[in-house]
Amino acid sequence: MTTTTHDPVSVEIHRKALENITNEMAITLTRTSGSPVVYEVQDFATCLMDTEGEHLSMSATILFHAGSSLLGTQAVIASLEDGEEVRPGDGWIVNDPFEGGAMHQGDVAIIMPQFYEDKHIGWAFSNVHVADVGGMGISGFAPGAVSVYDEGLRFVSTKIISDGILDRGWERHLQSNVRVSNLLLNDLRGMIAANNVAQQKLTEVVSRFGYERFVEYCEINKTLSEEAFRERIQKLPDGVYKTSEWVEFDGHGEDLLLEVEVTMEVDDSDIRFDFVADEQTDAFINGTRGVAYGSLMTTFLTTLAYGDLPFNAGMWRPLTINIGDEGTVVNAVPPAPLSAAHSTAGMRVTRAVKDLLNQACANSEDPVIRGRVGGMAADGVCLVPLVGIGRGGAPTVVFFMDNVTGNGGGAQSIIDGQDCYGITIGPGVGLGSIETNEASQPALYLWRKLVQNSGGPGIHRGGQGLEIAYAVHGTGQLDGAVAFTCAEIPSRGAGGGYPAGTGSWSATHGTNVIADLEAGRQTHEETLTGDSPPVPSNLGRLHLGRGDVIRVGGGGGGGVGDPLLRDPELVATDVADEYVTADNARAAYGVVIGEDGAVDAKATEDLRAEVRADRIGAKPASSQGLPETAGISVSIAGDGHWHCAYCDGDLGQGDGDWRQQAVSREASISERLAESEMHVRLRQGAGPVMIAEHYCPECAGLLLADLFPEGFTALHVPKLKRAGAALEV
Amino acid sequence: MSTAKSNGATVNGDASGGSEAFVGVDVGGTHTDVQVIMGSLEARGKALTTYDDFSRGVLGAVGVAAENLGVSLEELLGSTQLLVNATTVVTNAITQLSGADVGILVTRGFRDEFRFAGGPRIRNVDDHVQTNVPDIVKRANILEVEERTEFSGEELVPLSEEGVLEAARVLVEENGVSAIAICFLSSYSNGSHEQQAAELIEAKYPEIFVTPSHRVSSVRGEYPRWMTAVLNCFVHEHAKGFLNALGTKLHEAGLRGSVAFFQGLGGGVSQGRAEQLPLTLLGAGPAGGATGANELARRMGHDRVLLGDMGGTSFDTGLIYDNVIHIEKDVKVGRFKTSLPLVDVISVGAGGGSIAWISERGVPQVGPQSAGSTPGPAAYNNGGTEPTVTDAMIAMGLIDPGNYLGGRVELRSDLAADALRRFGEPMGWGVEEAAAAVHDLVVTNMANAVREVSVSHGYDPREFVFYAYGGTMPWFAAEIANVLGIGTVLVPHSSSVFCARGLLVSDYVLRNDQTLQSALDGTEEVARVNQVARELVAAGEQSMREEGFSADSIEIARSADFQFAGQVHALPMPLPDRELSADDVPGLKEKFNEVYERTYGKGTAWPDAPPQMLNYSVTVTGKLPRPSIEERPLEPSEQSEMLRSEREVYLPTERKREVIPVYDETKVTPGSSIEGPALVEAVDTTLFVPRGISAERDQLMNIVLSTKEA
Repeated sequence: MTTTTHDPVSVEIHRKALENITNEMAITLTRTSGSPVVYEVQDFATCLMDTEGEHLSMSATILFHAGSSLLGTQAVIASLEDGEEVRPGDGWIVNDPFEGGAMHQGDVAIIMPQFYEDKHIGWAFSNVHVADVGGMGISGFAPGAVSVYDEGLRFVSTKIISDGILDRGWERHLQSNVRVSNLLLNDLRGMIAANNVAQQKLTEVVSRFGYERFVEYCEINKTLSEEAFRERIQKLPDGVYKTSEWVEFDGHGEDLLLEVEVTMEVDDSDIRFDFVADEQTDAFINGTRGVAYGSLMTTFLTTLAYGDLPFNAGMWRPLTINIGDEGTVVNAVPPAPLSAAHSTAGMRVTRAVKDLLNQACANSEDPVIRGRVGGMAADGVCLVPLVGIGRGGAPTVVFFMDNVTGNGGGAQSIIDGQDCYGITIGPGVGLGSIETNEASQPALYLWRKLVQNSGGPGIHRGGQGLEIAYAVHGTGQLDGAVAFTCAEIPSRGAGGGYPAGTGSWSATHGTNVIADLEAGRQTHEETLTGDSPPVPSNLGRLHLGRGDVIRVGGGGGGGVGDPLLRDPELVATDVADEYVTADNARAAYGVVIGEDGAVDAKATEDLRAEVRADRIGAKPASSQGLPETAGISVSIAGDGHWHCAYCDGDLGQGDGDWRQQAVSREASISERLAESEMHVRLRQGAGPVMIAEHYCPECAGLLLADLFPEGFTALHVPKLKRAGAALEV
Repeated sequence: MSTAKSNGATVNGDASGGSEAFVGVDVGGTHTDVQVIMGSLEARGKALTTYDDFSRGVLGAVGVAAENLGVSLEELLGSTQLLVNATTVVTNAITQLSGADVGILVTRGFRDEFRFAGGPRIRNVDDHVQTNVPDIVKRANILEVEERTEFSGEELVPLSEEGVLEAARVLVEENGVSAIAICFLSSYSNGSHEQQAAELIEAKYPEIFVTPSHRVSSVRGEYPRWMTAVLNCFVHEHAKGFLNALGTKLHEAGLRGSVAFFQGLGGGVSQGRAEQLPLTLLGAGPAGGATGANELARRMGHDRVLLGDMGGTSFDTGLIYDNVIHIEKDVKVGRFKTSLPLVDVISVGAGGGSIAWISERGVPQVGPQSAGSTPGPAAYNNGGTEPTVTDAMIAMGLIDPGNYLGGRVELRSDLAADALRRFGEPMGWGVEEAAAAVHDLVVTNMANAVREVSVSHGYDPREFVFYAYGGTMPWFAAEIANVLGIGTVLVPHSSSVFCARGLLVSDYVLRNDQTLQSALDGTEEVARVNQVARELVAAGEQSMREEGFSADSIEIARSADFQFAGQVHALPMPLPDRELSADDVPGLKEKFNEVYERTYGKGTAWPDAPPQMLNYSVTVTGKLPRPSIEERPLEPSEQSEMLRSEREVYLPTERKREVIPVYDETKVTPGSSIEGPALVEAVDTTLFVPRGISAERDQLMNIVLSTKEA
């Protein structure tokens, strides 16, 4: 408990006032935008920073902008010449990932100083994923780019606003360099409006508290958040944790999987991160500092900022982040292209940190922290930005956001994962209306449905993705690109939960849609005909003609706990609801459903026994029970040894790798999950992605499923101080 | 607590028979409130809500009011011309997820929309709160039908009649549903497929309750519209049961006049209509308060009013601008998005029972958890040990523990003090400082909610009068106004049952919205809009005639939602009560720019995009007879006549103890005035008048608080 000399009630009132301001900024942006990226997916952020560029508050829309707001504001501060004074109504534009902390060029920030009377008291930061920033990619996505110079406009802390007005010269410059420039300019105006709202409210708040007290309370609130965060970190066992994720790209011919290895060292209430990554590449997947910072903070927020832990600068203080050598896929330098960095390198970092926190939480002595283990969310997106002539004859950008929302969330220790959870970074994400999309764009939806079996099997099942299919309707052609960032390496489960299925996309040309309409029929998945050529995940040029159909499906979230322990009644309900198929129930869960739709208890028991015997090649010596916490299958017990959470079997000394005691089996993930009627794209032209399942030798419970490209051997186990492990990083 | 109890309702004037009575009944979560106006007499009554049979609690509360009037229940009901009821039965069915077995017919390819729920993620960083939206309709009861209409309303694929009949057969004969919602894409622009399907089902299965989605809303956006139809089906059985039982029991008990049911839109409907569209009964209680407040505001000459209603568990706030109550058109009901237009009320967990606690960061908080009525505040000595807002009021001496609810509930101020002491200990506070902290936090929470309904919509609270009602509100009203910079607070007559009172001054109301999306460019477009408007008005008038209203008692109000072409959100603006001409268009567009910049700030209007009309809305009002509420003569009383006692209290904002006068509310006659600091005690509520504020009773028996001239 804090010993206080201040008035804690006033401090809390002050904090809520600042939270209100960033929320009001967010409302202003949402309501004024004409871009579905903003009003549906809420792909924007609003923050208040102090004069040092430290966070005072942030709206919970897109979480990784914790990173871009921090670095973007600091870039503006750094760009000021000595003695250069900022004035009310000044505004800077920042979208440069190298120098300005942006996730990718499509995220454009407007940063404006805030004043009280004549005193500069901080900064308002608004940021929107705009409709377009020019270059070869639409809406900032350029799968075909080989260098950053092919991509859109890039602003490194450029002052374009004076007295609250966008400079006319810059306005003309933007108009002549981007598609649908009115959308971009309106988004810029919306951001100016949001920052103006901040100024107006901030003046009220500061006058209520008085300047001195206002500043004092800002510092106290940072300290309160820092202390609460440190208390939670202290409950993670001291030690060194390590994991790897791979950034996917196949758009330039070769099927690349670029490794990002992340080490997390917990030392009392401090955490240090070290990134070691493969070299940057000539495709739009390279990340920079803002990507690493923001994506990392995202996982901390969703995993550990539950309950009473408001985000501000205090949450950065316990973290030390070393993004490693320059020239890698997480610390790229020019001319590396990076227009999809947020959903490639960025989302892999989000997932890697989830795995690291899962390892640490699973070994915590605190039951609340143990309960925070969870499956990974799908955390990849399939984006299909298209341009063409819209209804009414004007040029239009068709950029439906359904597949951002349409990804499953990871199963949690207490519940199944959420269907259509979206991406971890976006708690504000919504699902757009088909009727609105059809009324505004030349498209006719054929279906929008759940992707069956896409959630990772587990005691708690991962959330499921959705699939859309729409035909070009009301225009002759649409052209664009496809960026699909998570096809080959699905989201992992936790503690014996299985990985999820991934999404997929395809285009069908020369379809029967128009003929069907003329005949008064709908076209369904079963009746759709036409030519669907094999496609890579990332495609620089896509051409669709009238009646052509594009289908895009999302992935699921990882499961939690061994699916052989899922309540068979829940599996039967999932089958009845058609969330999973009967074959998935059988192969993934060992549950047999009778003709009447009810669980066949005897057959289920027999099948589960058979699966267990098959896993370890023998009848298990002990029975597999429910773990105390779903999602924790193996952890270090009081005796300093690894133990199986299903049967308490001893898995060896805590300073060693328990996998050596386990029965392990490796297979291609695509083939392995296909047995359960689940889809993961098979890697083309290179070794497949493997799943290594590790079973308890005594009870045959699934302890962990590792995922890695074939030939990878550097699997890690947590090195805990209390187990006497050597802690060199 | 036991069953129905007298609430010591006030009777003004002499009891004399022969007058017609009007009865407002607000069935709330904890209490059933009744307000009766009978000639020049007014009385109120309260009883506990009886969940097994709501009519018992209603009759109980009406009985209490009758007793307070000095007449029997039979006499009161026998002279009642109109009884208006607001119920939570619909809200309860949804929050408890307990409703009818519903079937859905949906356009083929789109049955999973009910699972997607428009995007289920909650705007909260914590992954543990991200649960799936409950399947309130069994998945097996969602069946797809071949049909398709385009956004323009043009038919693309005709309705498969065999498909409809086969699906209906499965739903009704095999799955046993009692209601079917018909949910087709683009039915907002052309409802004929839904209509056709409804007729087929109704002809074959007349006993089945059918709701086609375009009948509940003709606004673009499939999920909220479909969900409105589904929820309407989901609550139909509970609602019908309630409506029938109440009507029957009241008439059996001797009710002479008719019963009307209040809607969340802020007006009544007949039982027949309520049975068809039961979902419209949602949120009726707070809407009654807002309607009553607006009626009062008109009479007072206040055109901008902020509403504050604080009871046992929550604080509800809303806004009236130019004497129009702000309506929210896409209300979220629990986790479900709907397209139901309701009086816009923001509710926060700040009531008398809200619990104070210390958060993990060591920061004190109040609510949203509430001790409710069981176990209730610590002072109730009913098992509650957590400090509540009520305990803080007791500890500060603002509540007289010996005279709470007329002495019917015994309060233990020592237990209140103990609870607060435990709460304040880690902060180094004594009991009084802890109580003052609770006071400050609850005021902040309420003031933030008021900001949300005002500032977020572009209104400056300082330009408004604050109307404060509900049993717990008068303790805090002056301080909330102070924090928001509001100069005048009005505590209405019978403030503790004000929502029930609002029911008595309401009319029948119906509303139709239609998406038409028009840039109003050229006479043809204007003619198309006028055509839609004519149809909406004709349909509304027809419905009102069916309700028994004559042409001269029907009023029409028109409005439209405008947006810049390319936006999805739109802002409502009133329209003249006539057809539009091309000459109106420039003025409308200019007005929209004004409204837009008022809402979102200067310089935010889109210079290159033309404003367009997205939806046209018609609100039809059928004028009901209403009791006349007469002004009372000014008869100011001396302080000594009104003074009940003096009490030492802890003044929360001044952080000090002081002996202040306590006045008897029943003796505060019109024209009397009281200077703060003082307390004005009624049997069911206490008004706190802080220093620097004067309280005056007006001729309508309101108490008006205002800042003393400096």
